[in-house]
Amino acid sequence: MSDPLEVLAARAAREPFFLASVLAAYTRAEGLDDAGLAAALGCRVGDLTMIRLCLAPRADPREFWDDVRAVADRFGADATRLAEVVKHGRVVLRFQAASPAPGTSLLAARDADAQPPENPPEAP
Amino acid sequence: MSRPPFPSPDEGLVLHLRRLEYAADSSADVCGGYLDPLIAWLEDKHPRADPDFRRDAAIEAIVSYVGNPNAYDADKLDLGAYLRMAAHRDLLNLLRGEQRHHRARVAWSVVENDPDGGNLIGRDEEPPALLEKEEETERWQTFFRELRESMTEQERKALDLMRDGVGCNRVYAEALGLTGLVDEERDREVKRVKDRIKKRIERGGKRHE
Repeated sequence: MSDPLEVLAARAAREPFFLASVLAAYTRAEGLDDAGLAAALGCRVGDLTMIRLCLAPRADPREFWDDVRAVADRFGADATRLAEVVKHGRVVLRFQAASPAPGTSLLAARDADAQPPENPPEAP
Repeated sequence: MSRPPFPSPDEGLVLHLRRLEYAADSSADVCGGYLDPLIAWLEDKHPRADPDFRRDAAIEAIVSYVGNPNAYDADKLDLGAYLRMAAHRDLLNLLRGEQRHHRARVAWSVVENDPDGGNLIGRDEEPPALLEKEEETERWQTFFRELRESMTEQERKALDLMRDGVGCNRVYAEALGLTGLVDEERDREVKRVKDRIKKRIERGGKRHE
């Protein structure tokens, strides 16, 4: 990893305000590499670094979708898939925070997130 | 070899306002815009420091800003200058930590004679560096004053709210006298004013080039 921006994106995974943090939780839980994450988001591998460096979407449903759309539109990802990945990643993070014991299964987190994401609200 | 340029002061101000209003891609633009110039600037200032330290100091400065943009006061300094100060401070901390680690093993004379060693704080206070900082601050404050003077009263009020990180459109509407509008119409009007301010900042910056 010699590109400083990639090093920054890796560092950003430790900060909850960066999208990198939830994407990292998702990829760890799913055992994905960059190609797998790009496929899950419907974007190019080359755009992952900048996507990781975006702000994590806010919690309020309307703001959540505004933020997801802003990132997806800007970097060519699929907004619905990005929303699913973010929600899944957040559940994993919550689960990890609640059960920090090493080797703990993440299946419960997956079960808890079984519902499909809310549909994006109609654009005004 | 030419150094990657920092975003211009007006670009920095627009980035900062976008970060304050939680534009989700603003942090990526800050990272993409400032990281390489910061690393190059640190390389000029501390050519003998470990390149990984320089990179990490630049990264920490940017991460800190993105996590807490309110720590930066746009009235006082250009965002680039603020990040340079923060990265410089972070590098000094890293070097001091390294020095402490080495002092356990290396002779004092070696540490004291290292150009990136014991006199780092003193160097920061040298007259040329102070003068450079003063000139930079004066340029920025002139830019900012002229920018505000070029705005209508309504735009100035909105700029102040944006700079304070106010996100609530109702507050903007009250300050701008936009009363009697339904929520969607109000939100559209507020967005229109904010966009006009960002455009004006960009135009103001171009006049200063």
